Amino acid sequence: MIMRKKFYSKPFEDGEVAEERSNEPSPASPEIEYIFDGYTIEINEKIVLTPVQIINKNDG
Amino acid sequence: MLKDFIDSQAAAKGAAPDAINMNQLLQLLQQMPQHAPATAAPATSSNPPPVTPQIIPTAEKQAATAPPAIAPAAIAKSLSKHNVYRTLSTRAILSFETKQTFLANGKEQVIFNRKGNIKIKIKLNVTAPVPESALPKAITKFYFKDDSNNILFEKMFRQKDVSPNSVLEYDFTTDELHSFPTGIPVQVIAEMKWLSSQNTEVKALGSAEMVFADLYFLKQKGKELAEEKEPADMKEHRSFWNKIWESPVMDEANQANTNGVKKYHWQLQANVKYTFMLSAANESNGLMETKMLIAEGDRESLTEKFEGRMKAGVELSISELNKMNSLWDRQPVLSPEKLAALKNPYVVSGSASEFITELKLKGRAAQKGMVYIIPILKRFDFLLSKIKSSNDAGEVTEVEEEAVSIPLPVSARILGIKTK
Repeated sequence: MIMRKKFYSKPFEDGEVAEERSNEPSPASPEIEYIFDGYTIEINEKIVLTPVQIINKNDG
Repeated sequence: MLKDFIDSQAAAKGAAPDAINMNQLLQLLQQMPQHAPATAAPATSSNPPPVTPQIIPTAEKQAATAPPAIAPAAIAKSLSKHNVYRTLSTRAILSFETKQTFLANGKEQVIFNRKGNIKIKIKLNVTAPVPESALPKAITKFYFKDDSNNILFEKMFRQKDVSPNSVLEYDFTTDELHSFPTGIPVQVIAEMKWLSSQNTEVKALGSAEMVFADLYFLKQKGKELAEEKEPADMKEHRSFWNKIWESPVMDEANQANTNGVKKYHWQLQANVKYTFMLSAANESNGLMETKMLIAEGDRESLTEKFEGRMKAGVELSISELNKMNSLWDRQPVLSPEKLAALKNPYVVSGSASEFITELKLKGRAAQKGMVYIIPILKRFDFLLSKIKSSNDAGEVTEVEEEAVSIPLPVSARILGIKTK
């Protein structure tokens, strides 16, 4: 499997990601048990996505 | 009329100084005689078609009695390097003669089958009085433009004896259509030019939106289906797993840059924005490198902190998402022809999504920590139209509806892990 790497063309804009909005964790509990040998799972959250309009996808 | 208006304004000044009744002025101006000729409209048989000097030079003798020809007045003029005035005709307009429309990308569109040669039919509509004789020579140029206004292709035709209100056919081969995008609207602009007897270049314009398709085109997006699936096997679905953060290696070499303060812990506390986008052009998924905006922390702290903002994402290939159909029982992957119809800007732009949340993870220097994000997928129905038949011009006349589905991200799984 070849994976492409994309890079953000712009640095953070003022206020970006700092907004109050935060997606709520999904009420459904995890249905799949993830196992990582030698690791403990500290975060296992399912979050519902918000539709967005991408004007220039290279801007990230 | 104008005098009445001035008198009424003078009377009104006593009540409201400087007030002008704009509505009254507008009505007066609308009642004034129209000097400009009517805009182009299809001619009717009840109007006798006189000979026009612009179209037929031999009719100049009748110019005194004949009504003005196709381009009696100029809307826009420019002087070319050959000293020929170009005039946009106010009495002639081009229209595209098409038979049938079908729903494509949720909008009624004329569809052409790109697998064969096509004919585009244009009518030179001339408003009455319609000239009796044909234009001796005309040049018609077609421009095909994409949604970004880039010219995809242009072609010029030279014609003789072009009659007003006649339908003309223009041929385009499959090779010429080869570079056109399929399944999305293409703007087609037609421009017909001819030379008038006064050495004035007169032109008429027309435009239309057309869709070129091979076998399938997207009719519209359907409903989402119930069951969610996760590409949970990291080995099998590695390209859907994005490691957005990894704890630093806190060995002696790295500790040298910490101003003599040895760090014993690491800690991540960041607001993260993660974006899912779709890609029609690429066959593989594209990972977006994580970008962080870290706040300056306490240099004396024994913990190396990563506090601030983080953004990352993944560009999911429609081809890769198609393979994810196998996560659901008895769901076949789509054929290349059907998949081509879904590799469409309407599917791509309408499926971008993101989440913003706060991530917290901490550990000891000897531990290794990582954060992965994977999409949780749900199948969505899309209605495709399969071309069943098209006419001799290549215009699609019959389609058959077919529902297909492809998984799209609806949620995200965040997994933060660290060594024991």
